[in-house]
Amino acid sequence: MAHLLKLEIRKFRLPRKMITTFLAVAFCMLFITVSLIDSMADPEQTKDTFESTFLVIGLLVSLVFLIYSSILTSTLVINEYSQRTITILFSYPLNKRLLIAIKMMLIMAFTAISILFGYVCCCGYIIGMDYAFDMLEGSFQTAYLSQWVAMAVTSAIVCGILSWWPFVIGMIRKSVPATIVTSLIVLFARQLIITKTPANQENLFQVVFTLMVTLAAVTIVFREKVTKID
Amino acid sequence: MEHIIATSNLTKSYKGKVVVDKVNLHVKKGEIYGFVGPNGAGKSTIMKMLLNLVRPDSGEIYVFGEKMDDKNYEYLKRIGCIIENPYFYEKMTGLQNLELHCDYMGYHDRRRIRDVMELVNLQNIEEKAVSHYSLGMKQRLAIARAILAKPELLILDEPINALDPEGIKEMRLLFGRLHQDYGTTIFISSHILSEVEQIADRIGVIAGGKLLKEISIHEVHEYQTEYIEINTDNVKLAACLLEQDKRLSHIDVVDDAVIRIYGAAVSGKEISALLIKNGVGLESIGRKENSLEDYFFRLTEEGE
Repeated sequence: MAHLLKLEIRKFRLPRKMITTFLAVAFCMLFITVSLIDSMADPEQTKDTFESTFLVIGLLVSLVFLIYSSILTSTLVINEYSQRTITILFSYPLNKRLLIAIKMMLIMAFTAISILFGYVCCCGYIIGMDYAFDMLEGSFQTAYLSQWVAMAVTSAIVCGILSWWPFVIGMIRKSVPATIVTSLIVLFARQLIITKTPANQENLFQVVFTLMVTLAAVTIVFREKVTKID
Repeated sequence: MEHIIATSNLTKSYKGKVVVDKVNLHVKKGEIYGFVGPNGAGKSTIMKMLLNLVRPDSGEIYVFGEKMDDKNYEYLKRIGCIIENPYFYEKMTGLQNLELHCDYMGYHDRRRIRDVMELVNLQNIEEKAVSHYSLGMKQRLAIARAILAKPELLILDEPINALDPEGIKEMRLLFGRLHQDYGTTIFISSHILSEVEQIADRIGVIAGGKLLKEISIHEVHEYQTEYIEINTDNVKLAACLLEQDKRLSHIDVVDDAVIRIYGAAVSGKEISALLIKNGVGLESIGRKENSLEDYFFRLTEEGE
């Protein structure tokens, strides 16, 4: 299994894709900076608080990395089917389902770690910026951290689970556009659900429910679609 | 004789249409088996089933004497293959693609990569991305990949597609060498019958999903008798004259205008003289030979 993992990382040059992760985090920071400067420059606008800025960070980071994970799913999995390299891959002495599962676990881990990394960078950035330029309402308190860490970890787990949905739909159609569009739909649906909760975050029941439904869909796809070559 | 591939009543349907129909295939160890049939006959589907890429609806497959099932994939270590078109990771170089193949197959002799690149005449372009290869070059690289891990069995689906005549000859010699030097069993499909005829020990003819015949190439050659073909405006009279005057018994009236005489001890000159003397109009006359192509068409027509 470790051997297959290494092969996938080498084949798709995943270390190089870390550059994209850094760029995506930089994009999130830039977006936050523009938003903060805008609220500072306009005297009629009230300054953002740490809480509201943290929610924006959560939204941005999950948006960027869920879309990125769907692009990875397309590259690592769906393209193998659409470009027919899967016929070669499946003619090797390997367990076919395990091979695809490894690819997907790699994507899920990559997504979750990238989201956590995004949170750490963006939160550190706003704390630093506020310390230097007093950009936010109030001052940073260490008590925020315990709340933020819990929310960031929950968000990383949920997005890791949700990153399987582009795979599920993409495998049904064996189509790259379907994979990427699914990530947008998933994001939209998640946003609709969490904005109705007070903390703008999934509760334990929602996390478990999402996990169960996702597992059911993934099991069906693994049973019916993964080994099927048209 | 030990069979390296054997199938029993192998059947597969797609959307209600039977594409492989109770096929009983037998490939002996160490032979080159030519698998011939028209497009859509079921050749590629059978090859995919042998590689566990497609699951049969019913029937059994034995490879290396072991019954194949979904969970059995270790036998694939002993097989090299080309299925459909030559597929590669296009952004990678030819060399990287072959290295990756070694890694997946668990084959560690990296020097062998350079050797096979030389064998297929791609030694100077290993570092070029596959996306810049021509179709012929990709086909050569696919052959290199198939033989890289020194497989005991090669399953090659139309391996000489897209190759120029020189390339076809090179590959024919290469397959012959692999067969002779390493005893590799080769199961090869091709629609170029003359090529199959030159390398195969036995052939299997498939049409409409049914395996019509498995026959050794020596037996096919027995069918390749010479004959004289006559184009005439009066086949009845011509046949009558040939029977009575020349005592010829192996006469085949093909259609309203064509007669074939098998095993004739008379010359074409004598026959034309006889027919003209008796007022039979003669369009053409000449010696011909039944080829594998004729044999193939006869079988497939009978099959239909």
